[in-house]
Amino acid sequence: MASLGLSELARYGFVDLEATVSKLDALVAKVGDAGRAALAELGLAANPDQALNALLDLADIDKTQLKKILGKPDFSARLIRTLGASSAMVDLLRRKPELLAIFEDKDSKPRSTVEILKRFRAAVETAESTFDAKVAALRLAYRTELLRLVAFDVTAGDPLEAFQEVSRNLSDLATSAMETGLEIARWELSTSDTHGSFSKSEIDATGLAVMAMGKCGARELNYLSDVDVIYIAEPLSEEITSERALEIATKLATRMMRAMDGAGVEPALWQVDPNLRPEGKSGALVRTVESHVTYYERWAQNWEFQALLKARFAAGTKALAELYLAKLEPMVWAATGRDGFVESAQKMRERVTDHIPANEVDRQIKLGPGGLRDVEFTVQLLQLVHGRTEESVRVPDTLGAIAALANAGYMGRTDAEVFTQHYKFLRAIEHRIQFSQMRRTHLMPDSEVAIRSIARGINHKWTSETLIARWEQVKQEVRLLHQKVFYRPLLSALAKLGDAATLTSDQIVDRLRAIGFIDPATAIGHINALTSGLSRRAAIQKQLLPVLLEWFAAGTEPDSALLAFRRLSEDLGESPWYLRMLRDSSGAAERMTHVLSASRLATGLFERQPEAAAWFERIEDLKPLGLDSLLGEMMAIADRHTDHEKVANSLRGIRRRETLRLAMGAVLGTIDIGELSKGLTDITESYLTALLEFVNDTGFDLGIVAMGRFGGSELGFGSDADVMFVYAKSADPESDQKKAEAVIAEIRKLSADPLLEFELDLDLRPEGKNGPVARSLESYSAYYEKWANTWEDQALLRARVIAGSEDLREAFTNLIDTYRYPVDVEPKAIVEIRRIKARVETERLPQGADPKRHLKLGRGSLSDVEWLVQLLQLSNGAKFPEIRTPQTLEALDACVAAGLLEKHDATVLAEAWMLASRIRSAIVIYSGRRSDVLPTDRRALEGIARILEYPRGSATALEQDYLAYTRRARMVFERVFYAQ
Amino acid sequence: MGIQPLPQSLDHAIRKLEESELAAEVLGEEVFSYVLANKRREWSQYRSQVTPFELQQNLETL
Repeated sequence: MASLGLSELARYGFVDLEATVSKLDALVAKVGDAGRAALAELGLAANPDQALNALLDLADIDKTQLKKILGKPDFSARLIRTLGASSAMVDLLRRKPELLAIFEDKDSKPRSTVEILKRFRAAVETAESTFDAKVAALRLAYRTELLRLVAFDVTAGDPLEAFQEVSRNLSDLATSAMETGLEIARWELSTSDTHGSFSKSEIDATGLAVMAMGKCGARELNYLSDVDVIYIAEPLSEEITSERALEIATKLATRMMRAMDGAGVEPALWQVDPNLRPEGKSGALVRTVESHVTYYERWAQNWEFQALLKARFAAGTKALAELYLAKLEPMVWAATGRDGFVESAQKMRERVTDHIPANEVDRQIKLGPGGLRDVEFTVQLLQLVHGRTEESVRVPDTLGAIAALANAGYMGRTDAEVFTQHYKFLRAIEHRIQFSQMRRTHLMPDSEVAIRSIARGINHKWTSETLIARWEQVKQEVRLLHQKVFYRPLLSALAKLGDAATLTSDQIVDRLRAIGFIDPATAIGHINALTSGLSRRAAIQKQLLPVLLEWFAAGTEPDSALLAFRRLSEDLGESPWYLRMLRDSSGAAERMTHVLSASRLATGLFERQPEAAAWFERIEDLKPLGLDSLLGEMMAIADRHTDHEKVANSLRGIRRRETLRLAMGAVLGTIDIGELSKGLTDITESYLTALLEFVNDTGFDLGIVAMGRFGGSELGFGSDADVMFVYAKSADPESDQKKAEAVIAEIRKLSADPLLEFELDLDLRPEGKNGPVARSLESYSAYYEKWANTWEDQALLRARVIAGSEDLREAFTNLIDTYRYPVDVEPKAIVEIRRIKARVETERLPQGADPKRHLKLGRGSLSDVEWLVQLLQLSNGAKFPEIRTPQTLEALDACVAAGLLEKHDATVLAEAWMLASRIRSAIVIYSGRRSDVLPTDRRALEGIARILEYPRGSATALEQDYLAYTRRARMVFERVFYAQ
Repeated sequence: MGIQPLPQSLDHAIRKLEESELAAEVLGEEVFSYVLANKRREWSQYRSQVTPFELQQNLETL
């Protein structure tokens, strides 16, 4: 072959050019002219180098036969392309050269089940009379058929078109192998005592059916994967009891599985996986029909019904399978109407996606984004939603289901066609990857050579780049198709345009309910309102709404989110920036749906200030402004105007705006809990300071003392603002008090806001509700000297003066320091604090409340941690100035540094305190209402968990975390707080 | 030798259980706290009974 140029060889697809020339010569030397003719065929093989090497090996083994095959173009094509596509088949032929005979078979079409079974049985029949020999014979017969099928597959012209036939044949091979395996098991059990002693008539009287599940059940198996099965057994005559039949059937099933997957001279075929059975791994391997029915009636989870959709008789006693299907099928479709059925289907899919190692995601053909699983999921979802009322879509295999859905009008014709093509394409790639080494894999290989072989296996003109580019495009389209096929038809306005399936309103209701809308009829009203008309807004929303609906459905409150979106959209109308944001910034639109579907607090606030939607685009704006900036803005307003109502209105507006900013930031995770409480504290602080400055404009020195969580800069959404007022006495004490009271009354009036509640709480002042609302510095001094209780000293630990002259601030702080950090702590006072704490726990907790779930007063919750910190500060604050801080977390750290608390204890306390604080805020964000109790309602817990950035479906995880954290905190609390 | 005696009384056993993160995780928090509450009640009922031995031993000294 010296006449061949190297460039020509390269065009044929060889890589190792120099060596190829001599190899071709060697081949011609061995088989003559037939070797020359092989060159053209080699050029069509997936991997020409591999095929040529194999030919040389085979020529050494059986020159005559190879010559005969290469002499005939048809035969030659089948052999060479098989060798080029599958190194596993090359190995098989080297091991069993007699199999070369199948390439001379004139009929290359896949065989029927009857024919396959006949061949398997014949092979077993002629084998030696031992289990191992019969099994080896069966496996070899299976491999022979598999080789034949690969040969068919690689010469079929268009592998996409051949896929369905190949896949069906693979399923038939599997079920036939199991059928024959079962026959071997029956033969073995009746002729030997190794696995127990059973009479032939007993064994004959035992009915056992193998149901194929999953891909094999749907007759869409791939070259190599586990075969999922379920077993059913019954006595077929009066001769044996049900127990005995089950015992025998269990042996039969076990031996059949060993015939498929046990070690042996001829290697195992594939794993038989019986774990989809009732109770999974821990359940009985074989059950009677009745026992199956009972299980599905009582115990089965949603996904187990979903698995049944693909159940099909595979081997054994057919009558049992028919009985089983007849009984279970109606239950399957009734189950799809269960609450949360679709949700659990979605969750399963996410769990699968989550388990893919990060470095494999891009190479995954099956599980990655835009992979086979996405196609299968969309199709199954549509089947589950519509199959309950539409029997024609109850088709087990994916391609059949797509056709049925299109026929019944649930999927557009064009979409169905695209879906079908993409599915076939992905499966064709998967098959090529699998049969190249007969390995169970769904990963695109990472070597360039291997990818090139796959590419050439699909189309011999393709390079690896062609394949990857095409695959990327398919992945992208598959990802979009889910949204297009499921969500677009929900817009009836679009359906009329004819580019989507036209659904009746009942069908739209079914879909909306399936994805979590509680009131689909109202949702349809919103959708219609958003998409009707010819405005630019309607046009953009038509484009956008399908994807928005998908995102809304991913949240916990799709109904209220859709309503909020409609309001927002109506308020902002045709504002160009809003439409531009929706159209151009998919990140902004996604963030918006996320916030609207997660937070009632935010949706409520949006109604008053729709322009805040601009923040969705500028996410960097979702950071707290900081105290100085807020104060500056508010003071500027207070300075410019004189009208009380006007100023108050503007200040309320700023407070609402900033609260919304923080709520959005908290939902979107742009700020953490520390920034959130600081931000909320800054808002309240600037709000009150500005109001005070505005109302108190006569130079009267009146100061505000922040107390409690406000003092500690630990405000949450909806926290009260605990304060006291202090003033410096002037020459006219009588009028001072009156003045102060008037100012405070006005602040109270102006600060109130019906739209975003503001509660100014003065109850921590001396004498509580009975005391004057403000006191002079001297009056405080006198009071604390004479009257103050231990708990009042304790409350002062969190006092922080936020307004008033420098002198006043300093004087007041010095005054209270002597009481909150006493040099000599009376033991009596400590006992008193412990006593009050015990009383608070029993008396303040609302009737009927579960102490484990109360976030403020419950076991190991906020008050436990805070009281413990305060006890430490009160007893040691004089000696250790560094622990003097109104902030709980800071104090915990300082106590550790001062050696007053074990590091580990402090961590446990801090964790519980943080989680309780975060949950309290999350409850307000989620529901728009304040509550100090961890809800028991799963939906609410789920919503709260999402805001805390738990993954979907974490209601219970959140609950467990909270209960565990607080339990540990309580143990620390009891040990440290009550220590002597 | 690092060998610790098993709890000698229900009271002691309850305290050991309270400290067990393993038990809390295996049972789940709700069940765990229920079991503890139940056992604490059992212990307090046990302690509140007056045994014949105590009567025999101590009644006369009253």
